[in-house]
Amino acid sequence: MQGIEINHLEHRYGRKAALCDVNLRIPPGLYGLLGRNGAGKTTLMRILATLLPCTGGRVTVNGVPLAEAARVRAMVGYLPQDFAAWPRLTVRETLGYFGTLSGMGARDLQKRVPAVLAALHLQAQAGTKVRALSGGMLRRLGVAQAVLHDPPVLIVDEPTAGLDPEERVRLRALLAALAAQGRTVLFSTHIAADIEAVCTGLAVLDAGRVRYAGTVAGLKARTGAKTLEQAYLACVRGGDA
Amino acid sequence: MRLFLWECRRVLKSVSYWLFAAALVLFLYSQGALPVTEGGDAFVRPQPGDERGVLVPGGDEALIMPQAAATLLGAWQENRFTTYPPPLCVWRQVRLSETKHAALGEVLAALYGQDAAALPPCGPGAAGFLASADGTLVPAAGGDAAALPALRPGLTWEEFTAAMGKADRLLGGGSDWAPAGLGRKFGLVPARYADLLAEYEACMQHDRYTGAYARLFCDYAVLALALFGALPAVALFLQDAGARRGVRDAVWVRRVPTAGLVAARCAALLALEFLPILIMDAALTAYYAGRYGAGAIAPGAFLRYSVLWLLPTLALCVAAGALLTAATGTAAGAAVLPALGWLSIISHTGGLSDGSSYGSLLTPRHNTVGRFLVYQRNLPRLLAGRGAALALAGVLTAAAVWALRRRRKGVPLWRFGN
Repeated sequence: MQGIEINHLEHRYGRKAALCDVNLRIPPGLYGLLGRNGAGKTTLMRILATLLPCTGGRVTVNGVPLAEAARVRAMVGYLPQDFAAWPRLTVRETLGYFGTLSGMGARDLQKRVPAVLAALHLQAQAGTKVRALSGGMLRRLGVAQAVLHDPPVLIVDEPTAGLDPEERVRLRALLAALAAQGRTVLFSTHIAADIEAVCTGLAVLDAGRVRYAGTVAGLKARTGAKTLEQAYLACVRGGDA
Repeated sequence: MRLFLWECRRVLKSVSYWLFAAALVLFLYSQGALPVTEGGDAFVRPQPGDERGVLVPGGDEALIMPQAAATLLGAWQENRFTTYPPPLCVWRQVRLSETKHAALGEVLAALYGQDAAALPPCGPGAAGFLASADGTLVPAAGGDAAALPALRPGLTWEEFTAAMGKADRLLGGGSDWAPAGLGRKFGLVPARYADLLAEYEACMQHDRYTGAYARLFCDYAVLALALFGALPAVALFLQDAGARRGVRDAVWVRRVPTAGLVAARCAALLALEFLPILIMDAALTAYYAGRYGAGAIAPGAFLRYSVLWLLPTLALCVAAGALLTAATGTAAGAAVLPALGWLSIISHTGGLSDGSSYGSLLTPRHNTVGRFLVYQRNLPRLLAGRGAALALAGVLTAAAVWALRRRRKGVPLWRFGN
C-alpha cells in the first residue's frame, strides 16, 4: 500500500499519554495535520520518522512496518520542526553531507544537489555558510535536505511557523508541487490557513487523539463553518467531529 | 570512505579541533620538546661523575626482600597504602578493613616468622628509607638492609613473591608490592659510570639520537593528549547528538547505520588529531638529522614511537569522548575526561622515569632522553598497556554505537522499574 497507514497507535512519555488510539490512512498527496501546540503532532511525526518508538499499535510506511527502521528511513524525508544545520558548512556542503548520510554516491550528489538548490531557489546561496542564511532560507534548506534523496514520503513538521507571508506562500506552493509528483507529503501546522490553501486531506489532532480525519471540505460541511479555522475550533471544542 | 572524508571536513571546520592542535603544539613547545635544544635535556654521551646521585635497580634479591617487606610492614602499621589500581592506574589511598588488615598481618607474620604486631615501628624515616612527597616509602641509596627487621630464616624468593602477590591482591592491585615491580622499586643501587655509558651505547646502537628524543617527545605529547584529546570528539558528537533536536533528527533519520556513522567519525577524529603529531614527527626528524647528521639518526623513530605510544591514548580519548557525548547528549565529557587525564598525570608523578607508569592506559611516562635500558626492560609492560588501551577504546566505541543506536530510536538508555 502506498502512503502511511496508522492503526491504534499509542505513545506514552512515562505515565503521560501523548497519542491515544490514533488511526489514520494518509494517501499520496499533500495531507495536513492540524492541532494546537502540544496536541501530539510532533510526536506522531517523529514516530513516523523512526525517531520515537510506538508503545502500541501498528504503522506502515508504503507497506513497510516501522520496526524495519532502515527500510523506512530510506523512504522518508523529514524536516524537523526546529531544523538547524552546522553554521560553518556552506549550503552545498550541508546537502553533500546529508546526501552521504543517506547513502547517495558522488554522481547522484552531483546531479541532485544543483537540481534541489534550483527547485528551492537556493542556487545563489550554494556557497553561503549556513550561519549567514535568513530564517526562510534555512527553512528552504531544511526542505532541500529532506527531498535530496528523492524519498517517496515526506514528513514536514511546522515548516511555515515563524516565516513571513511571502516565504509561507512559497513554501506551501513548494510542498504542493512535491506532492503533485506522486509523493506522500504529511504537513503539520497549527495555522489552519496553510492547510486550507494547499491540502485536500487533513486530520485534526487534539490532546493525542484524532478528532477528525477526512477532507477539508468535509470538516467545514460537518461543522457548518465557512473557514477551516472556524471548523477546526468547532471541532476541538465540540469533541469528536 | 566518503562518509569518512565528510567527517574529516567537518572536523577541519570545527573550532575545537584547531584549539586542540594549538594546545598540543604550545604544550610541547612550553616543555622544550620542540625541539630539545643543546644544553637542556639534550642526549649526550655521559661523562665521569654523571653517575653521582643516580639510582638504578640492582636486582639483588637479598636487598629487595627486606626493603619490600619493611615498607609493607610500615604501611600496614599505619594502615595507609598508596596504590595505582588497574585499569586506569590512578592514584588511590587505601585503608584496609579490619578483616583485610588482619589478613595482611598474617602475610607479614609469615614473612617475618613472628606476630606482625610485635615488630618494631617501620614507618617513614625507618632505617634505609626516605618518605616521598606522597607519603610512600622510598628506599634510600643502597638501603641499609641490616637495620631492617629480619625476615624469617630460610625464606625463599618464590615464597616471598607469592606473599607479595597476596598482599597486592588484598590491596586491590597496583601496589608497590606487586611481584612484577619488586625489582624496579626495591633494591636500588648507585649507578656506575660504566653502566651509564653502556646504556648510552645501547641506545645509540638501537635507535640512535632520534629514539631518545622520540621517547621524551611522546612522554610530553601523551600528557597533552590525555588533557585535550577528547575535546574535538565531544564537540563533534555534540553537534548532532546534543540538545539541538533540529540537527539531531535530520541526521538520525538518515539511512546511515549507526555503527558506520560512529566508526567514520571516530576514524576521522583519530586521523586528524594524529596529523599534528605526524607533522611534528617529520619536522623533528629533519631537525635532528640537521643537528647530528643523517647517519646518526633513525629516520622512522619518531613515527614508530608516536604510533606505539600516542595512538592508543588518542584512540581511548576519542572513544571515551564519543561514548560520553552519545550517551548523555551533553558536554559532560569535556569536563570529565580532562579531569581523568589530569588524575592519571598526577598519579604518576612519583615514578616518571623508572618505567613504573608504562602500564598506564592514558599516560605512560618516560620523562627523560636517557634510561634506555629502563625502556627496554619495561617494553613488554608498555606494549601490554598500549594494547589494553586500544582494546578499551574498541569497547568504548562499541558502547557509543549501542548508546547512539538506542537514542536514535528514541529508546532510553536505561529503564528504571517496570
